[in-house]
Amino acid sequence: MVGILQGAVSGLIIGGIYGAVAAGLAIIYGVMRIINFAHGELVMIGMFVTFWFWKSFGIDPYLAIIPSGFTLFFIGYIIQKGIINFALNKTTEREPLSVLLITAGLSMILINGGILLWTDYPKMIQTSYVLKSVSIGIIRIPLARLISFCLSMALVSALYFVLSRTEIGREMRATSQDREAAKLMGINQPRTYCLAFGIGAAIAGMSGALLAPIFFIKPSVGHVFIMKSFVIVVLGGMGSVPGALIGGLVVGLIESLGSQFVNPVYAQVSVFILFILFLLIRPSGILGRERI
Amino acid sequence: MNGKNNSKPLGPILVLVFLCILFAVVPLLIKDQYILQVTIMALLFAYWAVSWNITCGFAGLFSLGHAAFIGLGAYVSTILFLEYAVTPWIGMLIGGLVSVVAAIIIGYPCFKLRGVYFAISTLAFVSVLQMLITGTRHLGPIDLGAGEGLLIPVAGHSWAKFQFVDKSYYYWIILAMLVGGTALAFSLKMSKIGYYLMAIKFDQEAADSLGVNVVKYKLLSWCISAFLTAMGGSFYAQLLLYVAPDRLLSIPLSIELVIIALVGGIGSVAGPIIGAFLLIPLGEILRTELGGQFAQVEAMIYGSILILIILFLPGGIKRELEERITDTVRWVVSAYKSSYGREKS
Repeated sequence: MVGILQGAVSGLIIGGIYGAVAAGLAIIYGVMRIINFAHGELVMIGMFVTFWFWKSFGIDPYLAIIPSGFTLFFIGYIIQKGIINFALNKTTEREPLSVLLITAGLSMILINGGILLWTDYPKMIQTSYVLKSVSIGIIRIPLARLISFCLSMALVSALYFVLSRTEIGREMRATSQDREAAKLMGINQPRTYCLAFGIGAAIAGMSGALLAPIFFIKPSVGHVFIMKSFVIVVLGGMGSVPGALIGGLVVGLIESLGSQFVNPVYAQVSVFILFILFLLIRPSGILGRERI
Repeated sequence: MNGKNNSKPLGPILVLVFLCILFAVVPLLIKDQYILQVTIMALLFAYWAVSWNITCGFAGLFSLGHAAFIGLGAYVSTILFLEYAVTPWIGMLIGGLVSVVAAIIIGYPCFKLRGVYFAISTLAFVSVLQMLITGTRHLGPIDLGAGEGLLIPVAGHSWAKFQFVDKSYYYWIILAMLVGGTALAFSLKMSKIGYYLMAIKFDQEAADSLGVNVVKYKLLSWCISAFLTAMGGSFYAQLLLYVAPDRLLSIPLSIELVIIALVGGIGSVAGPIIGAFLLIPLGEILRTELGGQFAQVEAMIYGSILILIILFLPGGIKRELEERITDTVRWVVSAYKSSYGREKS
């Protein structure tokens, strides 16, 4: 019983952080209908920004969320403005494959560029609280994971607030619901796209900062998150931010309990089977709605 | 299509025969094993890209999962050889059949999905296979080798064991496979099935309403492609005498095939071959010039090529070349005509 509870709690905690990563992917998908294959690499850059801030200036990884978010917002904005907007102008497809391939190319460049710069040897961040854990009743939770979980909840809530209460959020939701109508209503589409990709990338970067204290840091780490994020976005309903959070929790639970009671490989495999089943049977996701 | 053009075009066939003869004599002239090795890899990737193109270029089923078929082919022939001493020649065919079964299992339900979602499902398929094999050492009595992979014992020169000391034999085998695959792709494209597939690619609903059995033809092209790709996988295993999940069943290998086909030009038969002969030697030159220290530069250049091709040459190099050549010919003809006209007056 304690085992199940412990497994469930640690699954939900890591799942919440996955949810934050996937929320960035969801907003990019929701607004532009593009699948960002380089999302895992954006997370990786966030982790490295955090690592270097900690290593060079001794800045706490959780404070590095801010520079990491800004850096990635900038990178995302540039990628969208410099490359993806061109490709979107050329295509009439609703979900363009060409952009998926462009982001796949970006992902190759970023992973291998990272290995050239920093080698693929895993790095770790050591802080005073990394090895501590807190007891809640009968279960124990590593302190760093708990902090990361709480901050990622705050992050997703903030994103939700931006989407539902601010002008730019309104513009993004409008574009997501009907691209053409939004354009006719005077929304500057290229700018909305750049901001959406920037915000999605910033979320990836900030999640990277949250993952940095609890994960090994290396240039090829992105592939751990990318397929998972696809799965989560599909489970949560394409492009839905609250859905991404719920999808993340579900995936975290399956992974944790599956590895504990069956075998880690089958747990991963069952997550993918769930993914294909959802795509086929319920493409609108758990919440059953396709909007951000 | 007018009635006249329905007879088999002779030009491309003649070119193909000429190229085959040209390529077949290469090992007799070049004894340098390194150059042979590079050419073998170029031929192998050309073969894979041609096979990939049968489903993606012809039928529009964009697969990012062909590494799964490569891996299945390689593993099945290797396991059959190691455990049951089945010659890899038969193992190759069985590998192809296993891969067809896998293709049906994954493809049939996923045909409902549109472009991008189909691509991602095939990606998930590769990931699942890679995880399963990396995490499994023994499947019943069979040794799967888990992450370390399986080694095929070296046996010297032996046709029965599909092993040769002289690389020329591998060269001729893969050349024959490429010629066979290309001929199949070409006759498929020119046949009624090819036109059905083209119709499905451009407008599935329209093709369906005109009576084309969409699922049947999609499945057919998907299975042919899987079978051919898996045979190439078995060949690769025999060439390296080693199979491991981190390369054979990897997403980067899948994407490499896509890049090669895109560079050459999707949809045409010759495009993928041109792509392979441009990119594989380029990769090899980079690898030897830069050395192991900068192995990543190669992948970075591949990534950049992918982005540039999609942004600036979406039709691939083949179409661009053809357009340039037609433009030049047209220009020469018109220049000739105008000068001729001037003389006359």
